[in-house]
Amino acid sequence: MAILYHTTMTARPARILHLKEGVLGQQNDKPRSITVALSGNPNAGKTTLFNNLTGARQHVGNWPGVTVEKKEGTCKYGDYRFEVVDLPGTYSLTAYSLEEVIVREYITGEKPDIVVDIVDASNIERNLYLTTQLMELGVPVIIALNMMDVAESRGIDINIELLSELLGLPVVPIVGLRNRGTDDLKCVIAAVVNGEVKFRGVHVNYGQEVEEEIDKLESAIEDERPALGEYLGKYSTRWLAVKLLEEDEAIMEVLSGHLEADSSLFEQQEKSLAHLYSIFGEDVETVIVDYRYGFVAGTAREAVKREIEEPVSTSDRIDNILTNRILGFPFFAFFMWSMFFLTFYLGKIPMDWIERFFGGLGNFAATNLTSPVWLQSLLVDGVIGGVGAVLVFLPQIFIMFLCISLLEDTGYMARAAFIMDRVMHWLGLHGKSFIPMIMGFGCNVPAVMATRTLESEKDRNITILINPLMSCTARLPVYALFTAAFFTAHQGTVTFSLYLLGIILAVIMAKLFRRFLFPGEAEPFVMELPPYRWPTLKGTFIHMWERGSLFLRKAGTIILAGSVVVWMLSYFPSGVEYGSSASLVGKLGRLLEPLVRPLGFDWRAAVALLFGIVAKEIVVSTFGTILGVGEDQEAISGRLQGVFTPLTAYAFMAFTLIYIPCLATVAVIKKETGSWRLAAFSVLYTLTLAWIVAFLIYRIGLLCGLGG
Amino acid sequence: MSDNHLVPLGFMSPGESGILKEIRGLRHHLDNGKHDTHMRPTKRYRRGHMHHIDRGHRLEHRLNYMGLVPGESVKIVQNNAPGPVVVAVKGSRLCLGRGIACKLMVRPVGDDPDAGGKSSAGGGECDR
Repeated sequence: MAILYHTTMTARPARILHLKEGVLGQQNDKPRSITVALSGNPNAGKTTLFNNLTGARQHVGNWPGVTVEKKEGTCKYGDYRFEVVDLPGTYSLTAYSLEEVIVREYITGEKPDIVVDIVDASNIERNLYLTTQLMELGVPVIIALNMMDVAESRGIDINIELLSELLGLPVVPIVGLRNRGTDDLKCVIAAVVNGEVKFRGVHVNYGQEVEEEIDKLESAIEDERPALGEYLGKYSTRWLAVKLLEEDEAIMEVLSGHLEADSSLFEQQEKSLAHLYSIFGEDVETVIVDYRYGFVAGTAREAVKREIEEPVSTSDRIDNILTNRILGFPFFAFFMWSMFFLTFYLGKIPMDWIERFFGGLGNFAATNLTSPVWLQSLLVDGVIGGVGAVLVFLPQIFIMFLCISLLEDTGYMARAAFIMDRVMHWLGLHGKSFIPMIMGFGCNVPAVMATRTLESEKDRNITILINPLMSCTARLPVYALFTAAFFTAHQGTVTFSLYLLGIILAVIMAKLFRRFLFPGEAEPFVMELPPYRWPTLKGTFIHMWERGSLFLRKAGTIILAGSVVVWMLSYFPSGVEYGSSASLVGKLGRLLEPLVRPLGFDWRAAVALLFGIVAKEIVVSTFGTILGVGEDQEAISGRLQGVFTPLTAYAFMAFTLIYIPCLATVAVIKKETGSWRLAAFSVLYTLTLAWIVAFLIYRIGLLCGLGG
Repeated sequence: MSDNHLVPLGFMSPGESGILKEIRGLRHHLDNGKHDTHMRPTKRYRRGHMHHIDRGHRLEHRLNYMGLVPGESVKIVQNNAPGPVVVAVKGSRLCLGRGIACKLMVRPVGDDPDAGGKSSAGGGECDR
C-alpha cells in the first residue's frame, strides 16, 4: 500500500504515473460517481483545495437544520465524477461544538466514499490529531499534505512514505495555493475507490487498561444490538465504545433515547469509567486525549525531521509591525479607513454608469410603452423605480464584500480581533466577538453566523444582539439618498456619523446586556493566529461573489416583490392620484402616522419604514415608488425635500439604522440561537431604541433651533 | 533555582521559551465548588441535553487540541500587558487571553538559567 514518494514536488513520482495508467486505462461504460468529503483544521487550506477541485462548479447551502455553510461542488477525472463536499473546519471531533458534530454526523451518516483530510504540513502534529479521530470513524481517509512548500522553507522534512506507512493511509503532497498536486490527489481518490490502493487498518492504541474496557463496552454494545439496530449500523462499535468512555454528550443523548436508563450498557459504562478513574486518577476523556497525542507525537517523531532552529518566519516579521503595541492600532484604523474609502469613492464610478443605464431604461419604457397606462406605471414607477434605486448600490456593496473577503483571506481578521481584544474586554466580551462586528458592516446575516466561533452562549447572545447596530451595506442606499438630498456639502461626514452612532450604541447596549441580561465573565480568549497568506484572486472573488450575489438575488426577489406591492398600494384604488394620501398606501400611512409623528416623520416615512422591515433597501425603493420619480436620484432628492427637513432626515436615517434588523437577520438570529424569545427581543429592543434615539435627535435639534 | 520552578506563561517575556508543564485551576473554577475535586467529574442531563458542569474542563480540552498539551514546548511571541499573549506552539501562533495565559504553568528553558526569575519583570500582570 505504500503510496508515494518523496517531499520534492519537482520530480513527478513514477508511482503516481503508474496508478494513473491503471485508473484512466479502465474502460467504464458510464461515469462513476464518487462522494468526496473534505475535512481538516481551520486554516489548513480546505477552501483553496475545494476551489482547485471544483472551480466554479460549486453550490453553497446550509447543513440541514443549522446555518453552518455547506459547500458542494463537482469535478471530473477521467470517467469519474466527484461530488465534493467541503466540511466545516475543526480541530477535533468532540461534541463540544456544532461544527464538529456536523462533520462526524455527515461522515457516519452519509458515508462518503472517501474523506480527504487536509493536513497543514508546516503544522503537522496538531493537524494529525484530527486525523486520528477521522481514522476511527471507519471510512477510507486520504491525507492531502498541504503547504509542502512552506514546510520545506521552514526546514521541516517529511518522509511521506513512512508517514503513510505509520498511519496506514495514502498521503498525497499538494500545494493548494499554486494548485499543485490536485491531479495526483484525484488520481489517488479514484484508485482508492476502485480498490487499487488497499488500506491497512491502523488505530490508536489506548493502552492495555483502556483497551480492556473498550472490549467490555463493545460486547455490551453488541448485547444491546436489538434495541440499537439502525443506530448501530451507522457507527463502528469501537468508535461508540470510545465515545462512551469520553462521555460524549451527543452520543449519550442519542443512546439514552434508544435505551432504558437502567440498561446494562450504561451500567458497564459507569463501571468502566469508575475503574479507569481509580487507575489514572484523571477523567478518562483526558487519558484518551493523551493517548491520541502520544500516537501523533510518535508518528511525527518517526516521519518528520526538523531543523533545530526555527527561523523567524515572514509571518512573524509582519506581525511584529502589524500587531505592534504602538503601531498596531494605527494600522488597524488605516485598514478600516481604506475599506470605507474604497467602498465609497471607488464605488461611485460604476454607480454613475448603472444610474445612467436605469435612467435610459426608464425613459425608454416611458416613451415606448404608452398603453396601457397602468402597465407603464408599473414598469417605470414600480419595477425600474424601485429595483433600480437599489441596484445602483451594487458596486459599493461588492467592494465592501471584497474588502472583507481580503481581510479574512489574508489572515488579518484574526489580528484585528487580537488588537481589539482590550477594547472588547472592557465591554465584557473578547476579541473574537469583534470579527462578526466587522463582518456586520457587510451584511448582518453572515455576521450573525460568524458568532459560531464564540464558545460561550452568553458571549454569543450579546454579540448577536448588538450586531444589527453595525451598519450593513443595505442601509447604505438610505444614507446615500438622504445625504445627497439634504447634506450635499457634508455627505461623507454625515454618513460617517451614522456608522459611528451605530458603533456607540452597540458599545452601550453591550455593556447593558452584560450587566442585566447575561451577567458573568467573558469566556477566556483562545484563538489561533493563522499565518499571513497571499489571497488567491480566484478564492477572494469566489468569497466575495458568494456574499454579494445574495444581494443581487434579494434585488430580484424580495425587493422586486416589495416594489410591486408598494406600487399597487400607491396606484389603487384606481382613479386616485398616484402615491397620494388618498391611495391605499396613503391610508396605511395615515394609520401609522401617529406613531412616528413625535419624531417629525409623516405618513410616507411611516410606510417606507414599514416596508423596510423586510429589507432596508426597500426604504429607498419605496420612496422611489411613492414619489413616482423613477430611479433618478436627483428627482427623488428634490421631492424628498418636500417631505423632510435636514433635521428630520437625520432622525430618519438614525431610525433606519437602528430599528428592526431586516427579516433575514431576524430569521438567522432565531436559527442560530434556537430561541424565538431572543429573536423577538432583538426586534423589540431595536425598535424601542430607534424610537428613543430619533426622538432625542429631533427634539434636541428643535430646541437648538435646527428645525428649519 | 529549583528544578521544578514553574512560571505562568503570562509572566514570560517575548522570545522566552519553555516546556508547558500543567494547566492550573481550570477544571473546577466554574463549578461553584459544588463538586469535590477528588471525585470523578460528572456530567448530567439537563432538559434533555447533556450539560458539562465543568466549563473549565471543556476549555482545557480546547487548549489541548489547539496544541497546548503538557510536555509541549512553547515560545512567547508577544506579551504586552494588558493585551492578550501570543505564543508559538507546534508551529502555529495562538492568541491567549491574559487570564488563561496565567493558568498555564511553564518551566522556562534557554541559555539564561535565570530566565524564569527575571521574566516576571518583563512580562505583564495577571490581572484578569
